[in-house]
Amino acid sequence: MPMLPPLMRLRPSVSPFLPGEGVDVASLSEARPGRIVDLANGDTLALEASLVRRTIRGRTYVMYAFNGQHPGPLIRVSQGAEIVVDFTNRIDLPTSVHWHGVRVENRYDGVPGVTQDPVQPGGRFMYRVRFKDAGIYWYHPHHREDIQQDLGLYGNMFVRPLAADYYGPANREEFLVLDDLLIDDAGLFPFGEEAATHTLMGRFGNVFLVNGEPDFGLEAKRGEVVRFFLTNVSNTRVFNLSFDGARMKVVGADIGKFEREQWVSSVVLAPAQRYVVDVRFEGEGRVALTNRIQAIDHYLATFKPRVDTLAVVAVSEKEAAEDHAEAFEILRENADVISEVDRYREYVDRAPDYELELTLRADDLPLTIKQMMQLDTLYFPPVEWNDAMPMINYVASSRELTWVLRDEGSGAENMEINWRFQVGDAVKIRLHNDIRALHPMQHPMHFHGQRLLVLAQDGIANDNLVWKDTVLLPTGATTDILLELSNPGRWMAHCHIAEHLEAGMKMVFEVE
Amino acid sequence: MRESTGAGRSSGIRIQEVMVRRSPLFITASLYSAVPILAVAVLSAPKIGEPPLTLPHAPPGSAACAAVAPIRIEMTPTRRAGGASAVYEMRFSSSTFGVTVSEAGHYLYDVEVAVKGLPEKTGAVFVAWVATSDLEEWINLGPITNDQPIAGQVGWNKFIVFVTAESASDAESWSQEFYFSALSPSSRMHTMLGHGPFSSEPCLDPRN
Ligand SMILES: [Cu+2]
Repeated sequence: MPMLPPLMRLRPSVSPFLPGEGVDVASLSEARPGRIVDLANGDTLALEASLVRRTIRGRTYVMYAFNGQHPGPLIRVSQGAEIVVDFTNRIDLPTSVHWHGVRVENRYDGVPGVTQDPVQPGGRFMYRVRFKDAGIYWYHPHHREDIQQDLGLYGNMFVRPLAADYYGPANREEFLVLDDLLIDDAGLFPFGEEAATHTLMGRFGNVFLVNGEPDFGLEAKRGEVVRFFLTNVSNTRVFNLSFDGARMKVVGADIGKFEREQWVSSVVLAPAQRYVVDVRFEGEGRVALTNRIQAIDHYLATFKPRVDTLAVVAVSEKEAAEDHAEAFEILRENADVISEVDRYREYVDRAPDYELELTLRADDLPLTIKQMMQLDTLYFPPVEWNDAMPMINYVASSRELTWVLRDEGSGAENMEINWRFQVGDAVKIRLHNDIRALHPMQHPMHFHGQRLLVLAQDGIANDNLVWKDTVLLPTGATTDILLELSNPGRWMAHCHIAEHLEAGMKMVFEVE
Repeated sequence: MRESTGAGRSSGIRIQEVMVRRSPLFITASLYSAVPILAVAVLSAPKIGEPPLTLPHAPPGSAACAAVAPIRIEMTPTRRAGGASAVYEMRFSSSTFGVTVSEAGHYLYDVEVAVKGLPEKTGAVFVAWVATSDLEEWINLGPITNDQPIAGQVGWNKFIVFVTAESASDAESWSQEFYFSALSPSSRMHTMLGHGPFSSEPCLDPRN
């Protein structure tokens, strides 16, 4: 959207915020690339959030990091292990650490206001994290994550499965953390101090980062099968990822494996989601990891194809030590997953126990913006892949609009909702993403502390289930999920677009 | 994701670039660069109405909460259609990701066209088509009758669905004997140009 005078005059109703006010950038240590930390049952990890100096394409910024690393250390453990994380907050904001997707004990879930008080600057908190399920997870703050997570506070956790043949054979494993950062000529684009900006669509970045790097590179041998663990830590961007010219099969998602492996030509990865894909690099050469979208230009009412290269895999002429070509061709069926989810299949045809509507209230937006939003009501794309209205998005702070989860049964909204369950319950929840909202948008809905299955979307049953913790609802979608209540406590459910969370899109459910 | 075949009584048509016919006028796959000719193309296309988007019907098991998918669109009849009616429905092709797109990022939809009350026409078959809105690419979905809807998969940003009478069901391109047509919802996307705060903004910034 062109920057036009009527919009240029608009400013958000909050003060600009960037970290490290008054701090000499030169006095900060430069962030280092993330490292893998192997931990055994009973180990303690000292984790510190601090200010770092970060140089990206020759320019220097003040950002945040866990243990001085971008991304934070990759915590690698075996399934069933329990670790202690001795966390210290050395940033200039209160914070906390949430162990996304891990079924931790409730008091260690890291949600200020629900499971703990925020950790003040200089403060500490001891987390005890038990890894019940194999899979790929990530940790991040749960306090103003629109700022903190965006500025580098994120890291993976990889829980090695107990069974050696849990996944098919691969030559090696790679962990890719995908992000984007918003930078303009003046530096990092400021955040809102009192409240989040960009609450309409979330803050899209214009610099893509893979494992914290704008030009991430990997090496592979000819014929290698590489298992990629993909995590989207961006505030709002949904990626459509592919490895140009390399075949890819999707093996697992948030929490474990699919019932059946599947060939895919791209992976749609929403904020907070993870997918596990096996990719075989057949010939020598360069293979780009790209994000390909059909971006919308609202001004002209057109789609524009857009391709961004996020990383490059240099495939050498050297052959892989072990050839897994044959096994790669086989799409495995996972009997363990099938039998585990079998008991929930009957829920597909049942009426939902709860219905949640996802909608927007934008009463106090400037009239200029309201006019524009009301002009375009004939078509809403299922996904906003790019920020097609950056100024409008920017000036909309959480003071002017509220994203709403409404319990259709009681009429209660957001934090007024208090669902109560018993451990051992399984409930079917119908999520409905209201297309009649002033500006409807996709929402990646995350449920803390439990596992869920996506049973159906728009009335069509899902025939390949996988345990998840975050489900993407395209605009207008009606998605049925099965929430398995296995973990007692007061838990949050919310949209994982950081700015939507800041704009109210959250609720609590209690498991006794 | 890998593009899958259409569901149901599909004619087995898949959207793959190779299977799509392109007219000799085809310049580029980019719809953006096709914008200047779009208006002309639509004007020369069969007359298209603005059918109302029928509102949601509920998925099984639902009472209170309506689904928006499948999107059901009533098609605009020509005078030839007499009292006949047609609708097309579109829903995401199946995918594990909640959103179904091709590698290039085009949404992939299963589209099903159904007609009711069409009179017999000797020596002719009714054929359903889908074309890009610039009419540069199209797919013959297959023959359609009052008893037999036809389905296929569409992966274009903007498209038009229409029904014509042809001498053979596998016609390469359509005759001018139109019966019904309707736009994709995306074709109805509104331009901001000339509206509201932009009414006095005649120039475009080429960088955007
Ligand atoms: Cu949201």
